[in-house]
Amino acid sequence: MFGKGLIKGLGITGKHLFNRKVTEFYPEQKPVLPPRTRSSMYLDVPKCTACGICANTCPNNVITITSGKDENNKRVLTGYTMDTGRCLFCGLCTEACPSKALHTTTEFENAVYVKDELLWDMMKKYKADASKQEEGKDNG
Amino acid sequence: MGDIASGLIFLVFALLTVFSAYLVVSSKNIVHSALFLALTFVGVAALYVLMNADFLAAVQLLVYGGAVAIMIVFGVMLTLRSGNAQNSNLDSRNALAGAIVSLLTFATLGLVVFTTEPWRKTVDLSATGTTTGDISWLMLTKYVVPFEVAAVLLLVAMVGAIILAKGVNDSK
Amino acid sequence: MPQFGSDIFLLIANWIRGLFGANTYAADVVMDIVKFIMIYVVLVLAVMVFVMLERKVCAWMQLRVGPNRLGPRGWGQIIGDMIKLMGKEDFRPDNVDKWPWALAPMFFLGITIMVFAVLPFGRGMVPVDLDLGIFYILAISALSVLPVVTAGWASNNKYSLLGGMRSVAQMISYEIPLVFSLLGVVMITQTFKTSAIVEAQQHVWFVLLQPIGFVVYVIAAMAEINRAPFDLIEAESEFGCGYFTEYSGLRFGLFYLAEYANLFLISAVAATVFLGGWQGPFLPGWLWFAIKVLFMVFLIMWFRWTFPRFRVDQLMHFGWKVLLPLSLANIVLTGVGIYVYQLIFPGIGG
Repeated sequence: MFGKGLIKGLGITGKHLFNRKVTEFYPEQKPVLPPRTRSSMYLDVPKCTACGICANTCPNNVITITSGKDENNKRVLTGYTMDTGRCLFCGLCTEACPSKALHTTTEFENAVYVKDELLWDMMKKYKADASKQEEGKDNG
Repeated sequence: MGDIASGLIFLVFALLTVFSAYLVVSSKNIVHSALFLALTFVGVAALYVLMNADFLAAVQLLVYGGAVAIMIVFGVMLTLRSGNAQNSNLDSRNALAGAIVSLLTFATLGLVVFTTEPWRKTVDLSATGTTTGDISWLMLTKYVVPFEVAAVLLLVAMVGAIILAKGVNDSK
Repeated sequence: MPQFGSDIFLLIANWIRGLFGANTYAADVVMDIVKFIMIYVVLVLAVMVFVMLERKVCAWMQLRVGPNRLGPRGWGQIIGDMIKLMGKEDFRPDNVDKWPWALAPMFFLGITIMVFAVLPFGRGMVPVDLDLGIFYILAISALSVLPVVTAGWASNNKYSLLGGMRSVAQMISYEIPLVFSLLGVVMITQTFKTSAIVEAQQHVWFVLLQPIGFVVYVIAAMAEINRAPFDLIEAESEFGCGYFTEYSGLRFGLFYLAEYANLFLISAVAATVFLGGWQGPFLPGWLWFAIKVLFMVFLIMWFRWTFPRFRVDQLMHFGWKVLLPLSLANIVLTGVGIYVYQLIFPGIGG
């Protein structure tokens, strides 16, 4: 029948009028992203052996690792920076990491005001995070 | 007081009509001429209202203001040639002939105005109390034949337009 | 006997008239001015509500919540929008045709406001109760093509001109079914007077007697005011913004206002002619009128956010090959119906 499609369309929009809305009120309400979202990096510093495979795997030379020797003549991490201005968040480094120290997180508010802030010091980040967790434990 | 007000309103619209009619012929841009023509039509409609011919005024707006003016404006815009409209107008070179024609037209109209008594007529609401009712009454009784002839004429024009728009090749 | 709720505006009008005592001429003049101001106030307020409603309805139909920052649940957004629009620079491009360009939006809005003079907003609340009512509405709104095409031409922009030309084709084509669809009602009531048409719907609304007329009217009127799905003359995806591409600031605001005023207008005419105007139980007349207008506005918004835009040739085919024959058939049907009715009940009407 002519006009059936029109009625159907009106029915769909009419139903949508009363359906639950999907809008997220972003700054007040954080979105729940899927767990495999690759939008930020996190380094579990104690697990890292400073092997440098991640730096070699990276297609964009994002990762810079400096390492030193400790008293047992064992290699330890002294510096780990990521230039996220170049980073694609492709996740190859996390796949390459043999000790599963590096992984992606769903943290996404990475915008900064100054270009230098794009250089992430992953060790500092770990420390800040750890101390935050300490505080959380103390409070809790 | 009401008379003074309606006199003033008449003056305003009469001046508007005459002035925009003058601008139609004197304007250098031909699109402006067409737009002023539309304004003239509207001014004439206002004058009809002041003479109690409200139905006629509405018809004037609908037909002249709404349709004829659009056709003219549209035609002018589509056929626009660059430059001064007065140069491309061939008639403006024969000032003498133009003056004679204008004078004759003016004299004829003046003669009609002055020999018709009374020359300012207002509508006499007799049969039904509204101008619409009166007009429809007259059209369907006294003037039914001209009315129907006009209707047939419009029908013929419409059929002709459809045939023209359809084209020859499609009909075979 | 005036009821307070339904006749509050009439009481105010009588009070103003009473201030002038026996000087009826001055009272008339002052009342005309008051009516004009009231039309303007109602118009602007209604347009504000409609703009906000449009954004909200559009959002709801797309499972969004729409503007949600300013005011309670975002309903204050329209105030912000208005201030933004007024604060914008009134920019005039270099090569526009100055006077027609500047005057077109004013004429467009002015013509729309003129039509509101004959709408019956409530019992005895017709600003000017002309004998020509409906015909006056049609005659004045026929003029509104001219400012659009002027704006399109004067902008000196090919997209604007295309928009203007489409507007001529579209508005003239759809004016004919629009006029014919209202003719059925005029045949039944035998008057153009809007107040008389409302009075005649005391027992039955004309949407029941004239369903075809109503459908044709709504479609043709939506095309006449260039609302989606008939917004070909401002089709953004095809040529910028149509005839008001070159307008900004308050001049654009005038077009915007006029567009929603037109929406108000066609909804009000539909409410008056087909939905019984201010007739209705319990509530005061002007409230019924407002409810019916809001219903029509919602219906038209619903259509807008459901249907995709027409193609130009589809538009012309639909107008001339579907709507025009439908409206003509409606007139014939109505004529036969009135004749049969008069045969059955002799002496009624005629």
